[in-house]
Amino acid sequence: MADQPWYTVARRRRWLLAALVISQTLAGLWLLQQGLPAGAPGWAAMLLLVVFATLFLWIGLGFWTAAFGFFFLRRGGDRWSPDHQCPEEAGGELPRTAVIMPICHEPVQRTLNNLAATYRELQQRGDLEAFDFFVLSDSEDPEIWLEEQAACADLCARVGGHRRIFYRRRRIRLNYKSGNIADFLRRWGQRYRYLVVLDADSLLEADAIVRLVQLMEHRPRAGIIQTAPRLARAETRFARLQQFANRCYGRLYSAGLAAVQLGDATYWGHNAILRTSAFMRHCGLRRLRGPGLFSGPVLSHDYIESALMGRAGLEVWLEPSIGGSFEESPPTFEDDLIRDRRWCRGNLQHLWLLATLDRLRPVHRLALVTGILCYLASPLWLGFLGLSGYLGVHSESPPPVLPGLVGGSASFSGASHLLMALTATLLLGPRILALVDQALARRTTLFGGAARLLASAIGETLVALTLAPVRMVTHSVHVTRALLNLPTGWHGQNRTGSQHNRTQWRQFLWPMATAGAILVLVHWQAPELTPWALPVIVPVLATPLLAHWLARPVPARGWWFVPEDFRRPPVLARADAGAGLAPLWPGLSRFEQRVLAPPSAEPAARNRQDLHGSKQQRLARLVERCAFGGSQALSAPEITLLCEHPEALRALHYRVWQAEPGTPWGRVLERLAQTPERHTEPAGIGIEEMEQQWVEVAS
Amino acid sequence: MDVTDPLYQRALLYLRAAGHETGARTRLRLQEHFHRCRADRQDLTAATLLPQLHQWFDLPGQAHMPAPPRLVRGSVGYPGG
Repeated sequence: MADQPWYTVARRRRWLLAALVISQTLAGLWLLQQGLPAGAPGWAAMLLLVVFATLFLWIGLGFWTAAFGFFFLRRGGDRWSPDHQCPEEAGGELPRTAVIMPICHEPVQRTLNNLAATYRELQQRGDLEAFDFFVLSDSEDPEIWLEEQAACADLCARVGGHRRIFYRRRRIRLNYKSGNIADFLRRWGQRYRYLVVLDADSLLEADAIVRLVQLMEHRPRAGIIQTAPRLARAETRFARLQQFANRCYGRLYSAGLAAVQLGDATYWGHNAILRTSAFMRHCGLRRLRGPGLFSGPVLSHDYIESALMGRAGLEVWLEPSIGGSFEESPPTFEDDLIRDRRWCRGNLQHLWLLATLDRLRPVHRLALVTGILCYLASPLWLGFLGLSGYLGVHSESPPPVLPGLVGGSASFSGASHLLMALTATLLLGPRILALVDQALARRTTLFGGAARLLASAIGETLVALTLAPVRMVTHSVHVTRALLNLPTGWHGQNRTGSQHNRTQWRQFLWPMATAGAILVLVHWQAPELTPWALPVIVPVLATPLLAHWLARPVPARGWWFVPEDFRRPPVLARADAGAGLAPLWPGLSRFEQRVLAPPSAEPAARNRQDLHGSKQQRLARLVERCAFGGSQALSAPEITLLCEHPEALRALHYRVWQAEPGTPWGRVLERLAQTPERHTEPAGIGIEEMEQQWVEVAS
Repeated sequence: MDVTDPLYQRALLYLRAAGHETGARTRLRLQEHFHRCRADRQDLTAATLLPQLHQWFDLPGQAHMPAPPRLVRGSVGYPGG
């Protein structure tokens, strides 16, 4: 890799970044030392300095990355980026590429509408021939995966996607999402030169996909090219805030990150293109064999996969200049924290991989460390506040006049003022730089005008500051739970906000209890510190109210405008216009619908299964039990087993249609008789109608 | 024919479930088939009815996903092995 021209440039930039971050940290350390209270216990002061140095390095890295991004955006982009290096090509045959969408208990209609939008865009562009689409399901609940199958069949019918859109559900679910992708690769990976990975909430414009393929073709050493997805389709206050932050400040961070990392960037798991052969050869993930948390499947696979790609001598690029790449924010604060719980666990596992994987590139090691620090920073902040309070109480100085690090100092000196100013600059500087950048780039109108942009940024900052203590305490609980290896569920993510309910507040109980205990402790030990603990504690105690307010939907033309509010990209409009698959027979479960719907006259040859022995006997028993007891007589795994065997399902079908009135299936047939007559057209929305809706929405 | 006959009603429901239209023409055809079966002294029960319906009418059946592409087996390489 060192022979590549970009590498010398990257080294220079990284040294500059390191110098800036280290200098700023040393300055901060000196200022802190000046402000430490006299007579403070030595061990506590030393520990405070170590924690402070770590945290100051951490926030400094974010600030200077954004500053790099500002610099490069002002210069009109980075000439070393793949997009700058590769001229736009027109026409030409595209290599075979698979577009894969791993899903697990997702809102399937919304997900497939996203896929349909991308499909239709490629179709309209005339590039569909090169692409196959795979929906790779890990859903376990038969009600969900039966709906997925029905929706996929409906999608195929709607867009004419037969032999181009495929659905596969793994029967043995190993290693979560990375295992799902590996399973696909083992079966069909060799058919495709490239793999475009989508998440369930991803949307990629056809232009973006084709451009990614062109960049890979132009850069044979590139193993992965990652786009910087923009948040879109936010409906709740929380999601709107996240979306605004992503669209307003995000471009600075991603430009800065891309400029520093160059060909050593990281993969974010979706909205990216992979070189299939290289990925298959080098990026398999074994189960971890360490103790506790460090055993079992790798949860956060993407950073590791990019590190493995770099280890194999291939390049990984982040290309933020490719537009048309979208994803969605979690709709509520609770969902965001639930996702964080998963990511926290996954990122902490990287400690083991850092220790056991050799020959990783330094930049990838640093990326893994920053990923870990994303969550470890929270307990460090908590510890920092605790140590500051401890030092304030145990110093010989008079009672503190300000909280934390300046507390207890008799001389609330210029050094303390300077340190506060430096800290505020590091924390708020990227936001200010982003606003300046938007103004200089004449993009303020895209956010509703300069005044509205400023108001939105102030509002977003206030909410972010209020939520920061909640995140700090919650992440600390996540880290503790992860290190103790307490289990976390792995279910589909709530992407629409429709599943918001009171039970989600349960996850706030621990942080609230922790915050309450800290407040009591502070008030008991050092009542003079209580007023300074309140700004941290009160938001945590008020989390349920905050979360409830943030989960409320925002009117379409309400707050925190982003460019997509004024000019809707066609791919988003298409996805929004796509209607869902109407239930065939409302009031009947998916399983009941599957059993009652007449099978094809002859089962396809590949579905004809001659079962012998114990499995056949088990299926026969299941058919018998279900025919007598109805769908409730079977457990979810038993329903799954039946549905996976068309011959058994066919036998059950004929049995239930003979059901007497008053029996479980007889009652289901009565409900069926009461439903309105089914249309013979495929359910969902017709292509022409969808197109019409799209034109209307887009115009 | 008695159109309230449960077997006849079940047959109609099945046709509906299959997405077949159940207008006057279909009902007439179905009644003719019932007549013919009974005239031929065929044993027309719920068990024998369904396969007959598939013979009498062109029922579309469920929409199925197309078979996935031909497998091309490959292996995944793991770091260090």
